[in-house]
Amino acid sequence: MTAGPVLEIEGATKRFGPVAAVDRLSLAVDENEFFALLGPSGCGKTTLLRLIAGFEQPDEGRIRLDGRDITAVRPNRRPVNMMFQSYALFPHFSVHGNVAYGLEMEGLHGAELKRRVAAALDMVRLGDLAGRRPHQLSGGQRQRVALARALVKRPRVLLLDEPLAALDKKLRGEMQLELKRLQHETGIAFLVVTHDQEEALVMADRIALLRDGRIAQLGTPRDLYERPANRFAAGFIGIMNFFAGRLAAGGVAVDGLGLLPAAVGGVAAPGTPATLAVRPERVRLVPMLSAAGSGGGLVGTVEGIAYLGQDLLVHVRLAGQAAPLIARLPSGSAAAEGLSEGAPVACDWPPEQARVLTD
Amino acid sequence: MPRTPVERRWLAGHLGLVYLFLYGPIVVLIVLSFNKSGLPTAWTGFSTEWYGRLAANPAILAAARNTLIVAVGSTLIATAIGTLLALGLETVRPGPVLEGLVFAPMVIPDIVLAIALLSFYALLNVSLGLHSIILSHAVFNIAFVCAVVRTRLKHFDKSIVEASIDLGAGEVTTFFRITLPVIFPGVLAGALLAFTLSVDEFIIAYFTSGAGRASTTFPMQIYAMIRFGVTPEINAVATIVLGVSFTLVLLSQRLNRDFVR
Repeated sequence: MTAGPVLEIEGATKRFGPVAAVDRLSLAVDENEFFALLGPSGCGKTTLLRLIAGFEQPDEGRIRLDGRDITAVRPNRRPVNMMFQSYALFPHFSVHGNVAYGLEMEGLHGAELKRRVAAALDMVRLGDLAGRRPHQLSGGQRQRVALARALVKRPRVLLLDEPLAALDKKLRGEMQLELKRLQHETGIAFLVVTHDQEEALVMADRIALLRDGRIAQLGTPRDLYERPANRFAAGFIGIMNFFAGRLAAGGVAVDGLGLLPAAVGGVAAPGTPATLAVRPERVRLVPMLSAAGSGGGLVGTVEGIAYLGQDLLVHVRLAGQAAPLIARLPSGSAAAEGLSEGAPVACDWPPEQARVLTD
Repeated sequence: MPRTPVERRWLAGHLGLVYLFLYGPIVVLIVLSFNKSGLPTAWTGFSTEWYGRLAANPAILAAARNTLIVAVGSTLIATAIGTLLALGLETVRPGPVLEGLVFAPMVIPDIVLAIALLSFYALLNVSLGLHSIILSHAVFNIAFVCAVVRTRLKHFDKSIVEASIDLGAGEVTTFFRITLPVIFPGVLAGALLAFTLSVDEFIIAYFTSGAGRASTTFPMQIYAMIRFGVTPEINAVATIVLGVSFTLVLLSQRLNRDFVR
């Protein structure tokens, strides 16, 4: 599938006053790839998108498309199209007019224009609404028009700025799959900006997690979820339990809790400050008859149980820790049945499922 | 807050009084313009005689023609410049001083603006006539057009401009196919307001028209006639001007409201 990068960004920097919104950032998007730029607001992801579209000029660095340097190319001459967060539909044009506009700018007209517009509208399943004006459409329909308008140009890369932010939750789930389908059908590389980690995990082939204009981690959704590279990545994606301590043989030594098990594969010298990170679904809980005689394991008190349907989310209070340990277990399991609020519980996890972060 | 019927009747009465105060004199004027005898004291029957006499008065017709030229000319200039000014201000985001300077011509007393313009023309050796009135009216009309268009721009999603460029359009194409059509109701509303203001304007036109009767405008003509007393003809003229202004202002407000979505 990977036929080499279609888009390359090399050391791009964009400053607004003293603040670098994008800071010496490099990345490459492959042909036919669904790539997500993920990060909190203000991390520079939208600025990066605007640099690629050509609405902003980088202070340093180059942007290449198919190996060609397009840094100085004007936005209307770049074979890149953008779907705007507000959709930016032309209110005085019909749906057909909106989609046709970009092709008219290429000098297309007549039957060929009509055919291409109709094909694009069919692709987003709006064929029968071509005569409507944007204000006569629902939010989801408007989004489809915006998509068709950008895709009809057959760009090398489609840029999507928070494409699902304006939709309600149910529609968002449907559109995530719809976007993936469109990406597969068209074979166009999609570069989507989002602050929603779930959206990125579901849709993207690869994710670049951004922080303060730099890449905190770049990898597949699985990489980011299961092998976070640093505390920021671990905390941004999903729920994570953190224990601050020092590196020791077989785990991380935490004041008041003793040695917590983790696979320590020569990360750094023992005694180095380190954080142990473990996902709630990796935590095992065993109800205890009494707090005494735990055999040296981690023991806490069940503070609260939240019922999520399929799963239970259990908060366990540990001595000396400000935040409770969060465990997620299937609601039907034997461990779940034996839990009650205020009761002591033994906690552990397979050492290889805990990450040790030294940043 | 729900009101009792008595309270509501009091409020309606109050409203009626305010409108009577505002429009009573005007209604009297309109009625008198149809008075057969032409006397302000006694109603002697309905007649359109005075309107007929107006149509036969060459001085009034010439003044009406002059006013039309001035109004159209100054409106065109002010609409073009005022619209571009509004678009420019939207991107520059001016500070309070620049903001004030843009709107000053709206609040500067007419007499001051009139004297300033006259001295300015004298300094530059610009001849006076209809052209100088057109320029003078454009000065304050630019500010009004700009103000009206800017209210329209508040509802303008600037990302559609970027979308147009992203889709391959140049700046000029984007202006004529996207920006202008979307803000057009605002531009038209501004133009109608400018036209109305120009038709009614007296002091500045009076100062910058130069000597001679060739460039007498409609309000100046009325002023000249009124020195011999309020004649029924003047009532008729005023009624026509009123009708035109009222229609244009209503139209202008309607346009700006209806198209804001």
